[in-house]
This record gives sequence, C-alpha cells and structure tokens, in this order.
Amino acid sequence: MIKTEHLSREYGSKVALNDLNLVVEPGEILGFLGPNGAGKSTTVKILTGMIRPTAGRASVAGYDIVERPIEAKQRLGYVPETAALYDGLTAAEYLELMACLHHLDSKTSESRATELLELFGLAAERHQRMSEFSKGMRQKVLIAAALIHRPEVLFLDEPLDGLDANAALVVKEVLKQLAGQGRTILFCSHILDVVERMCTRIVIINNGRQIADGTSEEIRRTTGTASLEAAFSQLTGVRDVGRLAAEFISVLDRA
Amino acid sequence: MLRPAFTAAGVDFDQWKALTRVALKLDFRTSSLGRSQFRREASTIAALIGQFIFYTLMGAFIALFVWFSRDLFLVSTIAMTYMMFVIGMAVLVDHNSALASPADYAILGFRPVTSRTYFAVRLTNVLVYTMALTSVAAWLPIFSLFVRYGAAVGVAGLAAFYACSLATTLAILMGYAWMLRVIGPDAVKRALSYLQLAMSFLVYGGYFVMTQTVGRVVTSTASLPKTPWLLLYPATWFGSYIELASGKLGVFEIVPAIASVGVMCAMAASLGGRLSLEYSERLGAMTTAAAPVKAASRKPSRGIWFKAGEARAVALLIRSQFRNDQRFRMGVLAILPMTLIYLFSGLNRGAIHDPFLPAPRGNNFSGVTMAIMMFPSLLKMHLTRSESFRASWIFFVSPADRMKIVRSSMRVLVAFFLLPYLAFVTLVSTYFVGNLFHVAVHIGLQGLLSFLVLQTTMLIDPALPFSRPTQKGRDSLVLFLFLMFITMVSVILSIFSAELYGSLAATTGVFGAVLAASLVVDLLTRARVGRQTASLEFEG
Repeated sequence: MIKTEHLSREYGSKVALNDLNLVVEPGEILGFLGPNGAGKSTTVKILTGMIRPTAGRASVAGYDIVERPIEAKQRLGYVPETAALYDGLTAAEYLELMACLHHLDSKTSESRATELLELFGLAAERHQRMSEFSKGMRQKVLIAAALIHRPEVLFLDEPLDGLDANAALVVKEVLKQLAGQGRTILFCSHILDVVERMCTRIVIINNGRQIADGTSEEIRRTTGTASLEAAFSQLTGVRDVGRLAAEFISVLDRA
Repeated sequence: MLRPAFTAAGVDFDQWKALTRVALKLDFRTSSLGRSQFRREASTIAALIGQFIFYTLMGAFIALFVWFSRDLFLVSTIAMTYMMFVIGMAVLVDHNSALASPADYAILGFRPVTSRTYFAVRLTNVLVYTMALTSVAAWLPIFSLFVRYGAAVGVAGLAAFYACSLATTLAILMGYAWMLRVIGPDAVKRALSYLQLAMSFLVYGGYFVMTQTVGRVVTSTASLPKTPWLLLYPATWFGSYIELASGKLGVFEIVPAIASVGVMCAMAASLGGRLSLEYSERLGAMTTAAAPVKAASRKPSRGIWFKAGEARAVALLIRSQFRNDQRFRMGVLAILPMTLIYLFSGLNRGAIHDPFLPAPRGNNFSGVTMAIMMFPSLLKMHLTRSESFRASWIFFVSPADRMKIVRSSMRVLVAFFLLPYLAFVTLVSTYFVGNLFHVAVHIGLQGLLSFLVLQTTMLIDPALPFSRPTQKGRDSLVLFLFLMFITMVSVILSIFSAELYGSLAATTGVFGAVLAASLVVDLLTRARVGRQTASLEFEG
C-alpha cells in the first residue's frame, strides 16, 4: 500500500506539494490526476525516493521512504514520465542492470528479462542498442524494467505514452491483472478516458493540494458534471472551455 | 548594420539572433531541480570567477615572460603557442560536439531554418566562448606588451591574440565540418572520439614539441633564431604582427603576416561554401545513421569480475557508456596523447631511467608519473558528468546501496582502465629501462598513489555514475590546483626514488604507508560517503 501524511515539498519559496494525505490500498489502481505543475511528479518522486519531502511522511509497502528507503524500494517499481534511459545499453543489458540493482540472481534476471521482452514483442531486438529504438520501444523497456523484480507497488507516470494500440491494450490488461493479484498501482496520466476505465479510484490535485478523491462516478456526482473530463476542468479552474478555445483561435487569426 | 552582412552570407539574421541567444543562455544554466535560484546563480558566478582566476594565472606566466624577455620574436612565438594551446584544448574538451552532434537537430531539423543559418549559430556559439576565453587568458600578456613595448606593439599584440584564437577555432571546426562532409555521417558518428583524440594529439603534441624546442634554443642562446623552418609554424605568423608593429618590416615579418590573413580568409570562404550548405543535410543523416543490429542470439558475457549486485550494474553501465558515450570515451582516451608525449619527451631528455638509480641531473620531473596520478581522477570527473544524467533516476528508485555504487565505480575504473594503462606504461618503460622488476615496483607505487588520489577525490566529492549534467569548462580551477599538487608529488617521487628503493625496509615502509593511507581513506569513505550519498537527490 501507499500512504502519505501531511506530505509537503518546497523548492525555494515555491510550494510544489502541500499537505497531501493519501492512502492507496493493495489491489487498488489509483488514478492520480492534476493539471501540469500540480505536484503529481513531485509526489511520485518523493514516493519513489528520488527527492525528499520538506515535511510530512510517506510510506510504500509499509516502509517509510525516508527512514527505510531500501526496504521500500525493494518493493516498488517505477515508470518515469520522461523515457530517460542509458540508451547506449541494449534492452537486455538495461534489464540486467535493473535486475542487478535489485539484487536478483543472474538466472532469475535472465529468465524474467526474456519473458518480459517476449511479452512486449522485443525479443528480436533484445541485443540492439536502445539508441536505435523508437519511443514506444523504449517505453516498453521501461515498463519491463519496472516489473522485473515483481514489485508490490507500481508508480506509473504516463506509462502508455508512445505505445501503439496493441501494446497499450496489453499493458492495461497486465495492470488490471497485477491489481487483481493485490498489487498497489498509482497511475498518473492526462488521458482521462483511460484513467476512468482503468482506475478504481481517482485523486485530483491542483497547486500542490488534493482537491478531489473518489471513484469517477463520485467525482462526477459531487461536481454535478456529466464526464470526468468536465469534472476535471471544473475542479482545476477551466470553466468555459468553448470560450477559451474561441479566444485561442482569435489570437491565431490576429497573428 | 549586421543584418545586411548576414543576409548577404545567406544567414537569416532574426533566426540567428534568437538561436544564438538561447544557445548561450543554455551554456550558463545548470540543472534546476532541488536548487534555489540563488544557489544556481551562485554556482554559475563561482564557476565564472574560477575560470577567470585560472586563465588569468596562466596568462600571468606569459605576461612575466613578455616583460623580462628581450627577443620579440621569441615572446610572440611563445605567446601565440600558448594561445593556440588554450583555445585548442577548450574547443576539443568543451565544444567537442558543437559542430558534429545531431542533438539540437532533432529540435530544429523540421523548422524553416536554413543549413547556413544553423551552421552560423553553432559557429557563433563556439566563437563567443573562445573569444571570451581569449580575453581572459590574454589580457595580462597584452597589458604587458603595452607597458613594455608601447601602444603600437600593444595593439598589434591584441590583434595577434584574437586572430590566433579565431584561426585555431576555425581550423578545428573546419576539421569537423570537413570530416562530416567528406567521410560521411556514419563514419563520423562511429569515429568522432577517435578524431578528437587525433586532434588532441596534434594540439597537445604541437604545444609540447614547440615549448621543448623553444626551451632548448632559449637556454643556449637566450633568443629564438628566425629560421625558414620555424616560420612554417602558424604561431609565428600571428606573432609577426607584433614584430611589424615594433618597426621590423622585413620579408620574414611581412610574409607570415600575409599568410595568417590568407589562411583565415581561406578558412572563412571554405566554411561559408559547401561545408555550411550541406551541413544540416549531413547532421540529418547522422540522426538516422544506425548502428549495425547484432544477432539476437548473442548473450553478453558476464566477465570475471563484478558478477553481481551494484558492482555488476556499475561495470555494465561503465562498459556500455565507454562504447557509446563519446564524451566519456574521449575523457578516458585523452590520457593517451599526454602519456605518449611525456614518454617521448622523457626518452629524449633521459628522464626515463631505472627508478632504482638516481635521476640524471636536472631531470627530476617525470610527466609520466604525473599522467599516472592524474588519470583516475580525470576518469572520476568524466564518470560523474554525462549528457545522459537524466537516466540516473534508476539509482534513486532502486534498493541499491549508494555507497556500494560509489565504491564499485572506483573499483571498475581501476580494473577497466587504470590497470591496463599501468600495464601499458610498465611494458613501454621496461622496453627502454630494461629491468621489469624495478619498473613494476615503481609503476606499482605510482598506481597505488593514483588510487589513493581517486579515493580522496571520491571522499571529497562523492557522486553516482553519469548522474550530473555536463558543464562547460567549470572544473578548470580545480583541475589547475590539482595539477599543481600532482606535479609536486611527481617531482618529489622522482627526486627520492633511488633512496626509496635503496633498501627493502624503505620500499616496504613506503608501500605500507600508502596502503595504510588507502585503508584509512576507505574507512572514512564508508563512514562519510554513505551518509552523503544517502541524502543525494535526483538532479534530472
């Protein structure tokens, strides 16, 4: 499970995350939404141990990420928003690198890497350098790397970005089955349709603060809107999308 | 005023201005995450002050030489050699991929920017940097020329320094652009670091041979005779401006000056011709130049060392980065020209001798010792900074022990690079000295010392591999101070080597002391670095 208590993070005078209280139970897929700069990535970075909170506590799989980072990190997997990887490595080497950092033995690491790469249709390219890979292929490697040590908790930041329709279908199904096995998944995305269909619960944050928590239906009901998209717009301050679009077009025409 | 000139040259002035401004802005920016605005600015200002002090100090030596020497030809040759070296190394080290890297092309390739405009932006970026560097490195020598020889010579000196700097930059950049056009993007992509290595041989070797030759001549005659052979050396062409201004108007002054202008015009014409017209086309081809696909059945070997955990991860990463990261590979291989030139020079001067015997008189400086002791620390510097630093998030989200990663990095550097390097130096030195045991003991001690230096640098500034953004020229001052220290140690080692190896007790004592120091630093590393690396934050 994932738990945060009064979690905050400041960058100088800028408050990126403010007093976030969150509990994600095992088996849940939490859709973590917010406009750009709302504090989603900061939250994920704190929860994965990449940066430290300035206040509050956070635990992953029952372990405090600041006090007991190694135990927490043994149990988490992460797909970052930017597909940053050492692309001079081959796909197989990258998975081996991740397996080494998770202290998997060579036999296990090799068999899991083979399975995962086959699942994503990358078996033929496994010894090809990732600098030659397309965006989607790199994303598949990142997802495979996040799963190689069979984590209890998964943090996925735009995991479907760049994937073709078939690969996206596979990933979505894999995530549902992983949740079915009792794993906890925190899913960040801007594609609200996907979030609505996949996630069992949704949390929306804006300006570093949590502004909504519930199922898609509960959020729609509370805001009195017909879709999650409309609810999101209303909650995050964009009330008249039509008028905004018209203004945008008029600016373009003027130019 | 500039606009018509740019338009005539086929460069879009507005695009050039906008892109140049952005490129310069980016050069002075560092990663923003986890740092306040104040700390970012303070770090940039500190780095600039550091560079100013470093290059001013280098210039001060030349200024003193200008002041005390009475031979203007000698003064100008030394000063221009110095300028060519400073600029040549700066372009090779800090702007090594300025012209031959397709990185920005991915962003700008589809925009309506002409090849020539794009080329002009890249060229300007490098020129702004080198001209600024020239100003800092040459202001003291120019001031010295002004005061010592009068305003005319001072102005000529100013022109000579800037022209020499411009010509050096253009020559190196033209080399890159020419290679891109002639040998093709695929070959350049594969061989760029080797090309840079060859160029650094040229710059470093030229500098070294010139200073050695001049040093020998000056020691015996206190002046530099102007021979036709010496006039083939480009530094003398720019130096002739100074002599002309002093009133010497002979053929040997006028012809070199004309040659310098001619060469600069030829280079400018060449860069403004096909090289720039086909430039973006070549870069575009580089972005699609693919490495050969390897057979899927190939299983990577696990090697003998570093079989599991953090050590294996670090070994895997360093090996692959060496194969694929130009900057890292160049950083590692850059030690070779220096070593070979020092070996060559040592042989000439008789500095390479049996270390168990006293050094020949006046040959107490061993450049090879200096290179050996510098190597691991240079490696460490290149190991931590990388264009791929954003991919280092893996060290932060995985349950890896960061202290183990840092210590493994050191061991991998030693196993992959330092040991083969020491073996190479041992073999070459043994060939000339004749006694393998003596050479092996001496190189072994230097190897231990260099490992100690590496441990100390890691203790002072621990960093995860390839986890920090690259920064142009920011380590200059640290490197300069470090060089002074290393030079001192190598001179001491050279002076006392015969005494050191004179008795078994002394030899064992020294080895024991270095090993003990290494153990102490290791203990400190475990205690301090563990704490420090635990609080590191991802800089991407």
